This record gives sequence, C-alpha cells and structure tokens, in this order.
Amino acid sequence: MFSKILIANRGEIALRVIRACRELGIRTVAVYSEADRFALHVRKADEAYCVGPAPSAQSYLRVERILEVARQSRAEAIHPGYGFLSENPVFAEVCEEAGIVFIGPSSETMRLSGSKTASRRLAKQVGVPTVPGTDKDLTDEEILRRAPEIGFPILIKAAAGGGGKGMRVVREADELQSAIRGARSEGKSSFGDPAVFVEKYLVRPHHIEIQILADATGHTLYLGERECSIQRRHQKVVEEAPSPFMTPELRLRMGEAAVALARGCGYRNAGTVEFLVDADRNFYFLEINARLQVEHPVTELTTGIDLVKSQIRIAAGEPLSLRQEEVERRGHAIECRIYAEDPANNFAPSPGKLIRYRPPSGPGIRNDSGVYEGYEVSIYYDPMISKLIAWGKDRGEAIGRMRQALGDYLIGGIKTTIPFLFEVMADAAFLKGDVDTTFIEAFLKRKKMEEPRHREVGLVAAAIHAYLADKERRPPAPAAAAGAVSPWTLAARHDALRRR
Amino acid sequence: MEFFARIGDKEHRIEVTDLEGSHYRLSVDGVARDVDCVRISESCYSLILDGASYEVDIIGGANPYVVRVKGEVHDVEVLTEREKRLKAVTRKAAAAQEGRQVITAPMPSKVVRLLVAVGEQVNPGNGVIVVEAMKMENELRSTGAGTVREIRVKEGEAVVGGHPLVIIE
Repeated sequence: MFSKILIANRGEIALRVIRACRELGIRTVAVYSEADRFALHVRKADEAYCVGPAPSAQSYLRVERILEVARQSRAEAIHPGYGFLSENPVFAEVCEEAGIVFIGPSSETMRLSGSKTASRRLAKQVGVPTVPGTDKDLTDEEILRRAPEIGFPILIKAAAGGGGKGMRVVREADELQSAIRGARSEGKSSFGDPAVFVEKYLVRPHHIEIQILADATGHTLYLGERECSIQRRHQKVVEEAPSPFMTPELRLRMGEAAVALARGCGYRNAGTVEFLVDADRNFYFLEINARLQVEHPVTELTTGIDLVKSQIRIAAGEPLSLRQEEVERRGHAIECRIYAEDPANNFAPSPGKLIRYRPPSGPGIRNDSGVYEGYEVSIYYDPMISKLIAWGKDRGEAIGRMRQALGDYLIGGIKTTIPFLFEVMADAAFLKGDVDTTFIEAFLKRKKMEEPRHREVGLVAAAIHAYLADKERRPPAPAAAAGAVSPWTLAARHDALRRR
Repeated sequence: MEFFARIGDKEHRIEVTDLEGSHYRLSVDGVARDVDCVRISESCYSLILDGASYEVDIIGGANPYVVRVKGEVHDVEVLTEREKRLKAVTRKAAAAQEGRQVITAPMPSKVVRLLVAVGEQVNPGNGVIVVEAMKMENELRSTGAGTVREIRVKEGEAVVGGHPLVIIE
C-alpha cells in the first residue's frame, strides 16, 4: 500500500480523495493555485504546495510542475480526480515514466477511449451496438447520401465539438444542406475544425451509464447503472441509481456490454461506460470515461463499495476479491449538484463569498462539498459548490429525504441552484420517474409559478429584523431615574457612542 | 416603529411594537398579530405565530434582505419612512438618466459575441452581448426598449467586473 499520495485536483473531489487516504492511513499531498490558498483541501492535506497562478492552464494543468511536486514530496502515487488531467494520456505516461503510480487506467487505454473512432471500432469488435452513424471527415455529398440510410431525424455533429456545441438536429432531407453548413461553420469558429459527422438522433433518450471496476489481473466487474438524464446544456444536474427506466434484463445486458468493452481495451481501475437508451429500451454505446466520475456517490451508497478506496487499492496492486454475483444493490440514491448559478437569471454564474453556509443533515444524507462559511467562490474554476446525495430504501424515500435536505440547505451571499432543485424534487413527472434528456427543458416550461405560501412570515421576520437593526443603531434612552445604572446599559451607551 | 416593506411589486405598511420577552405586536396593512420571535444568530430567527413554528434565514446586512422560509426565497426591502423619502429623492435625481441602460459585465469575463450593432433597436429581453466566464457562456439582455447608442468593447476582449459593455437609450 502507498504511504503517500498526491492529489492533482481541487475542491470537493480533492477532499473526497483525502478522506479515503486518511481511512487507509496514507499521507496526502495537496496542490493548489494562488487563488486556492484558502481552499479546504489545502488545510485538510498533510502537505501542500503551490503550483502556479489562478488560471488552470498555469496551475492544475501543468504536468511538469505537478510531477516536480510529486518528486519533491516523494509521493508514490497520484490521484487525478475528475476533469483536469484525469483523462490526459500524456500525464499518465509521464507518471509511468517517472515511476509514480497513476491511479487510473493506462495511458494506452486513455488514448483509445479518448478517440471517438477508436472506441466505436472497439464496440463493433466486441459486438456492442453504437448509435448508428458515420465517421468524421465526410464530404457534403457523402452525408447527403448516408443520411436517409441512417434514417431521420439525424444529428450533424462537429467532429471536434463537445459540450453540446456544433450540433444540429435535422428532421427532413431538405434541411440537410443548411444544417451541414451551420455545423461546419460553428465547428470552424469554436474548435478550428469544420469536419462533421452524422449520428442518428434518438428521440427523448435516456443517458444511462455503467460503473466498472477492474483490477490488475483483468478481473472486471460492473457495479450497476446511474441515470443521468437530467441535464442542462449537456451538463448533468441530477443523477440517480438505480435508473427508474431499467429492467433487470437490460441491466444484465448493458452490464455485460460494459465489461466486454472494458476487457476489450485492457481497462484497469475505475471507469464508466456511457450509453444512450431509447424509448424501446435499445441501448447504444456512447463513450468510455476513463476516470472516476462526479456522480460516483450514488453508486457507492447503493452498493456499499467505496470507489475511491477501491481505486487506491487496485493501483497498489491489490486484487479485487469481489465476484460479480456478490455485487449488492440496496435502496435508491439521488444526487443533486449544487451550482453557484442563478436559476432565476438563466443560470448565470454567481461567484462571491459564502457569508452563510449551513449544510443539511439527517438520515441518509451525504454532502460532498469543498466549501465552508466565509469561502470565496472564485471565477476561475467550475461553479460547483457541493454534491448533495440522499439515500432511501426506495426512490420515494430518497426523494423525500432530498427535498427535506434541500429545504434545510442554507447558502447565503451568492445565488445557487438549491431553490430550482427543491422544485424539481416536487415535480410530478420527476416523482413518476419520467426522466429523459428533455426533462429540464420541459420542466422549465410547465413549472407553474407556485404561489408562495409564506410571504407573510417573510415580511414579519424582515420587519422585526429591520426593527432590531434600527434599535441597535440608535443610542439607548437615558436612565429614567438617577439610580444605579446597570453595567449592560453603560456598555450599550458606550457601544452606541462608539458606532456613531 | 413604522416600516414600508416591499416584496416584488407589492408594498406593505408594517408597524412593529416591542412587547415583553420575545413577543412583538405587528400590524401588517392594519391587521394586527402577535409574534414570538427570537434571534438565533445574526441571520437566523425562530418565529412562532399562533403555534406555527418557522425557521427564517435573513441573509445580507443590507436591503433588500434575502429571506428564506420553508424553502421559499423572498427579496424583501424594508425601509423606515425617512429612508423611503431619501430613496425617492435619489430616484428623482437619477431620472435625468432615465431610459439610459448601461449593460455591464457581471464579473471578469471575455466578450464572445456581439448580438447587436450601433443604431439597432432593441426590446426588453433581447440578447445584446454574449460574455464567457466560469467556463460558461452567458447572454446579457436588455431590460428595456431603446436604441443601441454605444458599444464599448470588441469581440475577444477581456473585461473586469462592472466594465460597461453596451449603452442603450
């Protein structure tokens, strides 16, 4: 087992890894940018080193600097978290060459999973269906020819695109020409590459992903699925396990497909295989995420397996003793990502100081956060404040506990998505389990402006608050009789005089 | 003590009288009620009204107060008579600038795209400029109708928070 691990990340995930290391008796090394000197992960680690100024490119993404810190601190392994360098094959390779264990899959596996064409080829090889489509760099004429073969509606995607950019949905053949033009132009201006490819557009698909875990011997397991269809601008907002759309038969087929893909590329450590599932429960392979994912807690709570500790153990060479038939599924878990965004203002980012931070608690409540009261949410990194997770014996109990926790979760000083999530947890469609990738759009349209029921209480409290504030500002009335003046009155007078 | 409280577009007259212990008498638009209120911390209160108990968080030291109760969030502005008069006077002075809208950068960001040109007519809600910050693009919109008078930035420019971007009149 390692005696020291460097965490090449920040925020809540850095804290998550630090906690796992502490449990295993492993010393931790934190890296931080100049903007993160006050971050929680810095003071929770055993050692901390500055890696550069605020912008990620000059700090958290600096491969050489991070390696330098690893050498200096004699860290034996590096956990990359998610985002940043976690799926960077060059970083994994450099670690391998430096004799430092990279906690994750190999650089070779990353190269494969990072390539759309290579991973689709792998899927074909192992017999896993992919979304019908083409490879990139097709000419306009080839696209016009292939489109009706694939079947409308189709999606024209910029090959270099991501995050929902450079995509056009085409429902009829006569829309093709202008859609291709539009996608190429967006691809060129946003990513410098006008190449496009074509995929069948699945109507109202579910985004369902399978967690996999593999040890150094190649023993590979799937740990159930996560439903991640509730997304905004292709960014996940609410995730849950198990998926309300799943059947035991589909879970088995998708799980085995995920394991086949993992084995097919020699996958080691933790990873996630993403699929799209259509209304008829046909599943299509999308991509492999060669890292630990943000939403891993819902899998942890429903299987009882600590994924981060598993990652560390696997990287240290320990074999995975669990057998597939021993993987349990207990209850239901829901995760809500709390972002520093203003839902009333088109989810505009809301950085600033957390003048109040009062996280919820209670049975089945877990809050993975990297913030504290007084913390300044900066503009340099993504705006996630915490992940609130609720576990219940069934979906209904999990939802009830989540709603209660969101109601108690107080964050003051910035706007957050808490009020929005609070309403989602009461939404009829959500309660029924009608969640697919069109959910948020539809929810925002149908959300009735609920008549607030506690306006008067709010008014009353605000009035008393103002009254007390005003009372504090005014000097106290002079003593009615020339008797002994209590030390409290004296102090109040002294205070009032001072404040003026 | 008398206050004028505004929630949304409704204004209410509230009178607060300190009774003994943790009790207050409040008259909201003439309707009186007794409230038991204790202050738990700088921003947290426990209110009991006719046996119904509420935990109210009031965030922010200044008006408007962000009031949170049972998951609902309300912005409440509470002013004394004097403060209300002062505000009206300030508003009159600002009326000279009436109709002039300065769209500013909400935080340090980069100008991604201009959606309007000088001389163009805009209506309330029209997107005017797209800026990027915290890895997301944000479309800033005009709150009123008018004509784009000035565009103070160009695409690709990095700006500080509060930097004026587009002037509409």
